[in-house]
Amino acid sequence: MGDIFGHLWEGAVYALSAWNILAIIIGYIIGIIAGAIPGVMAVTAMVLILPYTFTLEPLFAIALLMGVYKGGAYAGSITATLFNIPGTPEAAATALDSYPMFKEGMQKRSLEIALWASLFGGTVSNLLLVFTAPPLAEVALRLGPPEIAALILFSLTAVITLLGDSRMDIWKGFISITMGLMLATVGLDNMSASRRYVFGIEDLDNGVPFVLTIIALLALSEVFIQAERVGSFTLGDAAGAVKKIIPYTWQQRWADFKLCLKDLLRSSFVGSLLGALPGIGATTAAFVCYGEARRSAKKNARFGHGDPRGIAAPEAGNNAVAASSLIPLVTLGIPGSVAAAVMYGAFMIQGMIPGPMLMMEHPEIIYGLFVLLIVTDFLGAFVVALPFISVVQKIFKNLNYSLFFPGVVVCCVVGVYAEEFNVFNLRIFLMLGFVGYIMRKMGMSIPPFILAFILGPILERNTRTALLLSGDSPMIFVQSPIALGLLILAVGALVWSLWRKTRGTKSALEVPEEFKH
Amino acid sequence: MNARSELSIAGVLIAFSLLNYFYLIPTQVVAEGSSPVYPALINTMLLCFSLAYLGEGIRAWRKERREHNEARPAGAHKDMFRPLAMLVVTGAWVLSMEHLGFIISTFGFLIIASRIFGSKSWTKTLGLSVAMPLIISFIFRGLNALLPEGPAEELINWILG
Repeated sequence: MGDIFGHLWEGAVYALSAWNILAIIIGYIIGIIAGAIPGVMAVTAMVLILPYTFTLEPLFAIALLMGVYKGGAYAGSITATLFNIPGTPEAAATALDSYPMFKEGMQKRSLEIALWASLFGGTVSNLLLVFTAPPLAEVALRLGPPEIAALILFSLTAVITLLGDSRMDIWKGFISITMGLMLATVGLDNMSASRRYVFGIEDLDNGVPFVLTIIALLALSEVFIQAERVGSFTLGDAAGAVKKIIPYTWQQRWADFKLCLKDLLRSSFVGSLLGALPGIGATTAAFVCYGEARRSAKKNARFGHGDPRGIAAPEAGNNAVAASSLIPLVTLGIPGSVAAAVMYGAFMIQGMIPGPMLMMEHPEIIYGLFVLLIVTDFLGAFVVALPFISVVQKIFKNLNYSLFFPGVVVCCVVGVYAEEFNVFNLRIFLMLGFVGYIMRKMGMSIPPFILAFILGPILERNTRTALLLSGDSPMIFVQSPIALGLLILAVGALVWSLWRKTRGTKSALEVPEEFKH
Repeated sequence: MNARSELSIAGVLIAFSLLNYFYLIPTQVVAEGSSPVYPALINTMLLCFSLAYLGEGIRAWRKERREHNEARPAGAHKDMFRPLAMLVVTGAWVLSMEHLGFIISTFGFLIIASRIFGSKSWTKTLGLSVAMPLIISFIFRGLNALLPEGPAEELINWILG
């Protein structure tokens, strides 16, 4: 425990510079804007910034992305409150109570409850990350190639079994994963350095670039999807519903805090736990926390009509996911969510591989990251979000989508071009963007594809190394108790999931159909 | 998506995995001197999951036939017009960038793309189409990183000496 505080101090000394704090503020502003715009996720903004981090100082780049990540986690509640249109899918649970509260003229109360709950959930989750990551990283260092390969397989399986709505979706999810693994095999074989699937094109020798793939699949495909929905966002109409604005007094703030405290604590822990598991994500956490708050409330509660607990619980839950979803990344080197995958990319761009080795060899970087996470929540809330609340309605009422999305495409293309200054990459980018669009039209999930694409080379290296160690005997995966346990868990999760879909059993993790993504 | 579409997609995926087994792995992996084990393993996974997907598709198709409600999503082709137009315009922009330079090609792209997205104000469209390429171009110039050059960049170079 003493070690952790010592490392935290070292991390604080290393990370807390004026530049990094500026990066957090800039990032939080970008995140809050991106997260609040319906149809644009904070992760899209992270992806757009990613290629520009090549030239930045490592911690400045990480702080910038962290600001975007955290700002986006809160921001979805803004348009959910003001326009009843959630900026992010997870904010849909918040809208159930925040919009009715807004309609009664309590817009300041509603947005502030969401902000304090986000800060509370984020801070609890940050502290859990700080205190659970070091022991987990020590365990991770003892894992060999068969265990790591089994762990990756388990992570990929968990993503699918928890995301699927039906058996069809589960198979589509697995197809998505295998396609991601296939794309990762393009380029030079990482064991023998011979070429694979390059069709004689030298530009493909280094494989399909990671940044390009992630921007194409997340951002460009999103623009194509939005092109179908031209004219579907009408923010102005919903905003006109409020009659008069009621001020939010300090007595009310204190009363709301006392009323919500139990739900804040429970949701923060539930969100942190769900976030640490690969693939569950903030949307599920928000709805689980909302459901729990509603279930535990007395009969005279005003859930659905503007109950403060209906805002605090989902906001604390979904913001708690943000930090805890980094636990698999910093302890095992395995990104458990798309946002964590983007952070993984940012580390790689800076020449660092996140995981237990980085934590042991350069604790100041990882603990610096933890300190930045903690600081981001407070800085974001007090310096950016609070002043932003007063001007936010005006900004989003006047947003011009017909100019915004073409601008996003320009940012994407310039970002991809700037990575290697290679026009050939732009052609791959365009192709992958359209593939991403078609996959989404076919109902195939993109996050599993991206996670598989990132984890593919690690899975291949560890699988082949394990087979080399055992003289090509697959029994090595069964002889190790950890690997065997993880493989059983992976198969068990798949079988349970298929059985659940066959029986039509509803899980506690069910999210309403209209908010699935 | 209706069951028939699901069946078609499953068919395409199975055909692709067979193509991979019998053509791509021998010519693009083995012929280059790489081990076919891992690509074949992934391909086997793809084939198995595609067959399972096909099985689910057949079940769904039978169910649809029983219930006589093989619904075709209305206006599916109409929905795809704007995304396809965006793809073509973005492709044309990327290809023309090498010849026309970043500023002129991006100017053209932004005008057409914003019209596809339903922009009604010519003033705002022109404002964005002129300002955005110029700002990006100057940022890159400041960073000593050059975007594809064309007549507009040459003119700027000449003005700046």
